Amino acid sequence: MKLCDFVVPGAIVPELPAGTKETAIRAMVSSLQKAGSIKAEDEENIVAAILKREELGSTGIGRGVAVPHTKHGSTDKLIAAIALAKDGVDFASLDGEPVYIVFLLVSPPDRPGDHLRGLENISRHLRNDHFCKFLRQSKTAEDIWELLKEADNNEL
Amino acid sequence: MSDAVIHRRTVTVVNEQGLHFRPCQLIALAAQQFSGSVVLSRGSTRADAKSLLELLTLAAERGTNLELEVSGSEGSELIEKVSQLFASGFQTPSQP
Repeated sequence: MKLCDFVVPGAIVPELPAGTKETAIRAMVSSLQKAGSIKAEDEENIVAAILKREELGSTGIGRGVAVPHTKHGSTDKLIAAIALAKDGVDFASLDGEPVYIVFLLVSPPDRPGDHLRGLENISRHLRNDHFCKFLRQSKTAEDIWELLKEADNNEL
Repeated sequence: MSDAVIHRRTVTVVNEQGLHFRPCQLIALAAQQFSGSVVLSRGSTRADAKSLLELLTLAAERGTNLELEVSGSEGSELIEKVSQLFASGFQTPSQP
């Protein structure tokens, strides 16, 4: 599985407006809806499910990255949005640091393996300092998409 | 030389959703309380169990066997604790 297999090109948000964890999650789920990956009537329900998951423990993963996620029947395949927050968002991460990169995942409940492989893929790339640095420096959705392709091809 | 003792055990992922974010978080929280080293391996992929990011790279589905390796004093207590997390399917009585 590659990043470009599940990241939705139309759901890349290169500059999140300043705000909270909730506003970041809302903006990203909205981008998935606008890209046609989820239905408008499911949007609020998905936001609520992701926020509920955050209550169990922050998905701040360290290195200035968070991976909010939920399993939801509204999609039949793993999908993800990516957003950058230049000013940082407080995700209540374990390391106490703000979050600058957010990967938001929605996966079908009956495909746990795809969810695991999505998390594995993201985590593996996040261990690469070049990937994190170049991602944070990206200015446009096109820049981010190109970076994902380079990461998929092990060109970083 | 109790510090040099290495404890090893094979643990199996029994929960339906596999080693997803929350189980990895629980393992990392337990491992971070321990002063010695804690490694979980799946074949040639080794993950520092104190790192959530590394644990997530294991992508272990239900039924996967992993090798748990703990070194340091009081490692036997930690290996019990982590083994219990796996055996219980990561069901904890209270969420931290």
